[in-house]
Amino acid sequence: MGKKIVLVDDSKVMRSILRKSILMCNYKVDEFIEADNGNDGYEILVGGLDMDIAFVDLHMPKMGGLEMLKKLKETGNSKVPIVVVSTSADDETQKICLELGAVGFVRKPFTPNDIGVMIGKVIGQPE
Amino acid sequence: MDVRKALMSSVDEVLDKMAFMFFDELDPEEIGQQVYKYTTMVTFEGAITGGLNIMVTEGVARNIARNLLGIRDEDDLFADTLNDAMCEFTNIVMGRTMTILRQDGRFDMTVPQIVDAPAQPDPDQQSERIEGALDDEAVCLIINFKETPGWTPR
Repeated sequence: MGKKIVLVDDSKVMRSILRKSILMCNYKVDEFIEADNGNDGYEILVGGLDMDIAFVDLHMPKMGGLEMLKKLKETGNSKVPIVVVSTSADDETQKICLELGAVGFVRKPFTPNDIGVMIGKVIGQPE
Repeated sequence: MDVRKALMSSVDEVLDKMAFMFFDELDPEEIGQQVYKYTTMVTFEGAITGGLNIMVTEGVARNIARNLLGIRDEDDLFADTLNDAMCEFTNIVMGRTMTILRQDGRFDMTVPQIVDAPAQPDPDQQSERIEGALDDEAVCLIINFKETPGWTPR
């Protein structure tokens, strides 16, 4: 069975890069569900759909990734594992993301393998 | 604070990891007079405050977009795709440069955009110009900046 993967990033190009990277790692994907801001990302993640993993940017309009994580933690309405993807890769930012419920952090620039390793850690290797 | 070194390190890392390309820094005399098709601009605040322009030829923009996005068919490379890819490339390069320069990763950046011409440095700014080639086509980076070590996020 293929995966359902959420991509939340205001950059259309970055969402395409993430899609390409995930597919290059041989994961079978049934559906990519995309949002270009944290507000829409939040609505997707609490929408009741069965999703396997979400990749979320930190700097976005309307609602950033940190604010989205905070809102998800406060409401407790989503069980989807969230991986933060950002150039802001300092220890403090990573610590805050993990405290707010993220399960991992990928620093930009990344290789397709970096994405594959992270998915492997969170939901297992490709079937 | 070696801004030139940080910028070069960032460009090399982004090209290597995400576009599978290598930048050859060249003497400006080797590059000669160039007509650049795409010029991106991003401004930033953090360890340094200023702006970065990246100028590339049509061929370089196509190669970067193709490699970043994994596009094989030339027909899928629309003008908007090239603009977006160059802006995202600029975004990641500048973000990584700022993180190299200030380890706590705190900085602000504008959304990169395509502009008609590179910015001129203000009187209080330093300027670094890096010229080179990607796949034998010319690339030029210009960063105008001043050091702002005490900067804190708003």
